[in-house]
Amino acid sequence: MLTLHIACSSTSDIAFSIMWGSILALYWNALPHSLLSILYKVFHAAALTLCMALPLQLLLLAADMAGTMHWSELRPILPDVLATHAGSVLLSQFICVFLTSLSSLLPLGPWSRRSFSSALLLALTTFKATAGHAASDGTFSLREIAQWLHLVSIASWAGGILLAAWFILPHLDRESSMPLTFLRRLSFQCTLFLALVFLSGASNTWLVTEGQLAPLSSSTWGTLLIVKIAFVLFALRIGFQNRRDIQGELTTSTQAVVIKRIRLEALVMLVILCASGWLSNLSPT
Amino acid sequence: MRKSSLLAIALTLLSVPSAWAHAHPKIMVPAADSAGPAPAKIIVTFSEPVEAKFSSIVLTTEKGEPLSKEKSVGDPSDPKTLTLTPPSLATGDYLVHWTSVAPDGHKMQGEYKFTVK
Repeated sequence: MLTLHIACSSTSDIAFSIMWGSILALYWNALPHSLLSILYKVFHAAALTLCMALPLQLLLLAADMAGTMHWSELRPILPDVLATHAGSVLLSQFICVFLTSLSSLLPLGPWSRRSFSSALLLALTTFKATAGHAASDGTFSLREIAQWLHLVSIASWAGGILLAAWFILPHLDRESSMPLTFLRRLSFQCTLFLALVFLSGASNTWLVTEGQLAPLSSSTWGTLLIVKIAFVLFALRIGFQNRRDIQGELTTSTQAVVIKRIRLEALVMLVILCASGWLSNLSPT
Repeated sequence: MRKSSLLAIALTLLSVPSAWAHAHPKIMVPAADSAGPAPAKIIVTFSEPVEAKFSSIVLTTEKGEPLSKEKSVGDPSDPKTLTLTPPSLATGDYLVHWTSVAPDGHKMQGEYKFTVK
């Protein structure tokens, strides 16, 4: 059951990050027109992935609450599960991603499509921010705002890297100046959101822990967290090396190294997102 | 302190996910491992709000035999609290089994003992 929980949470987090990465790339990464349709396809594919992951998360939630995995016992309690805070938030998220997936079939112009997608992603993020313990303080609390900022910054950082490594860099003409322009903008985006990760994470931690850090060193949760931090440090190191290398003119060989590093960073990001999915299903005490 | 140590501490703080707080019993009436007269009500207040429909407190004998079919109820004015009205309790040891489901759906279970003198 825990494995399924982790798989679902991680898949959702990866898809959510890719949605944020795609939207940001659509707005300001100055990509060629041919790439825009790929970005929309990636965005909608991520939404579709969430469309499948969220109902599974709801079933797992119901199974957790009921203490059974039998469908015959789960079915009657589903309305009660949907009435809980966690259930209603999952349903709201599902409606957002379902509408997002549906919008890919609508004959919308570029501006309308982008605006509609952005609005739904913002709504999805808002519901996601209320899904965790941030909800304990009630609706529209400071903890939820900190959580919202934290989600956006992590998704934009991770999503930017995943999108670049898997979908953008393989399609950019390496002989043109396009890779350098894109890499500089990506580097700026990652630096900006990393700063936001620090700020929102610090306030989030302060609001959630009230200064009690003992579980960090005395549980499986703490050990996993340390492993995650090691990977975050590794990703930071890769990002720093790339940022340094793209300051000047980019030779073909340096460009190849930078692109290779981004692919490695994407793998590290996957590990970080999976570790986060695992951590969110563990108790620190 | 070296820069790398500061960075590690900062990252530790920043990487703490939202799973920090699960709903643990914070105030228990009667208190865990206490001895006293038979209680009219068993009240457990958790560290954060719980979903009353899926959270419960059940009273059993020390051997785990249930004492009544009465279900615990949530307090509408305090979503962190569950209350159970027990039957008349004779002298002896009793176990309170608690199950909490936090607003994020995380479930926790546990038990504690009290003695009626």
